[in-house]
Amino acid sequence: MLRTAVVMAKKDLRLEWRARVLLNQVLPFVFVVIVLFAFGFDAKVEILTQVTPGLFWVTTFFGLELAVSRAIAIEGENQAQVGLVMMGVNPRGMFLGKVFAIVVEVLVLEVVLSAGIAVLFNSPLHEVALLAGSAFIADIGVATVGIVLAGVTEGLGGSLLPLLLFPVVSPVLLSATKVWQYGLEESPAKALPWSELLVGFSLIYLVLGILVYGVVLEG
Amino acid sequence: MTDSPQGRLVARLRDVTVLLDRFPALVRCEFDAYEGEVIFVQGPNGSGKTTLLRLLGGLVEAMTGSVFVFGRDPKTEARAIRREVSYLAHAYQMYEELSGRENLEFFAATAGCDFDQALEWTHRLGLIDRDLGARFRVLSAGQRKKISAAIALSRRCELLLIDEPHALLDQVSKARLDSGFTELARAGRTVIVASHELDRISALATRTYRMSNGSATLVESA
Repeated sequence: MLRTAVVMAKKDLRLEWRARVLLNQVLPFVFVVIVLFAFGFDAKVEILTQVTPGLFWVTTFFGLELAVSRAIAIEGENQAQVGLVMMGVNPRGMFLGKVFAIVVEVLVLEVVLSAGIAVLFNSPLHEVALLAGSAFIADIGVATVGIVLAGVTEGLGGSLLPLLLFPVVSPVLLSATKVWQYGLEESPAKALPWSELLVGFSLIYLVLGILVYGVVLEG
Repeated sequence: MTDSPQGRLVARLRDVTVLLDRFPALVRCEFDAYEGEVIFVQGPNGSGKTTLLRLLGGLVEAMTGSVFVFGRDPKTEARAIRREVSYLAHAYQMYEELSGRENLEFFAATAGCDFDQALEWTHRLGLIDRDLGARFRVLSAGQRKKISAAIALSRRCELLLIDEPHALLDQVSKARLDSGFTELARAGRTVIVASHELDRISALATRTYRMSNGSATLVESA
């Protein structure tokens, strides 16, 4: 399973690097969002600091959604996924590989986004380990649900994924936003219950995803 | 499951009907395949050839009747069956932005294909290293088909389901592919080929089924 996951993730990352979909579509969006917010709130640093967690996770969610759609789309090209199913490729390995590739792609996006926020909002990032750790775990939670839902809604129209994804991952996004808020306020102790909620939901989603993805693929 | 003087029974369909949406793609279909055979499935477009292959691979389900592949029911044991099956489909089932060689490597690492054998197949079918180094999307339709075929033929399995293998190929490649089917059958594998190339496949098939309106009729045995 792990070997399949590694090969799958390497393949997805290689395809993304060559097609540069995330780079070309999300990074300009990230740049526009940061610049517009910076101009919109002018030099009101305290307001910018307050909106940073929400802004960060709205933008990241957009990137995650696009990365999930892209991860599913590349398997639809030439019916590659049918080939994988037909050849009995381990579905759990496929699932983990896809989740891992999405998380890596979105982490890159988050690094750029964080740097942009720090520079343009004049908002130094405190508690970096907490922020980075929570981002990593939340990415896993959202990517996990995204891959499963994208598989379920495949063929039912692309507009269903965003509609279904947000309500299901809202516990992850809300707790990640709170962790970021307390992290930026240098109050890591307050972030603890939210961190536990974040880890709990992401772990449940990951385990459920591993268990059900094979059934989703067969469907 | 009983075997016969023809060898070990690999697949058996009895009174099978398959509906795709509401369209009856297979109707009361009967079909047998034994170890080491090359079976030719012929018939006009829409007669049910591809559905028959997909049914044997567990990609579609029978509404009525019984289906057994290696003594297993694809409805409940599709994954176990697929470990013993290779399927060359109409679609290339490859990644456009990977090179031919990278596609071979990927399927070798995940899907039980023998990389060296796949490489050998591509060379036998007339591809050179330069072709394999190019992105899949820039290759011609025939070159793409050859890479897909190489992967399907190099998979370590007992049953090969081959759908329209000659489409898009030049005459030399068609002949090499046919000799490959014969070699695989001699090695004890079962090869089921759906094709419109009547003369070509008839010459090497041990048995031929003619499909018409979703039903299969055995027309000859070698």
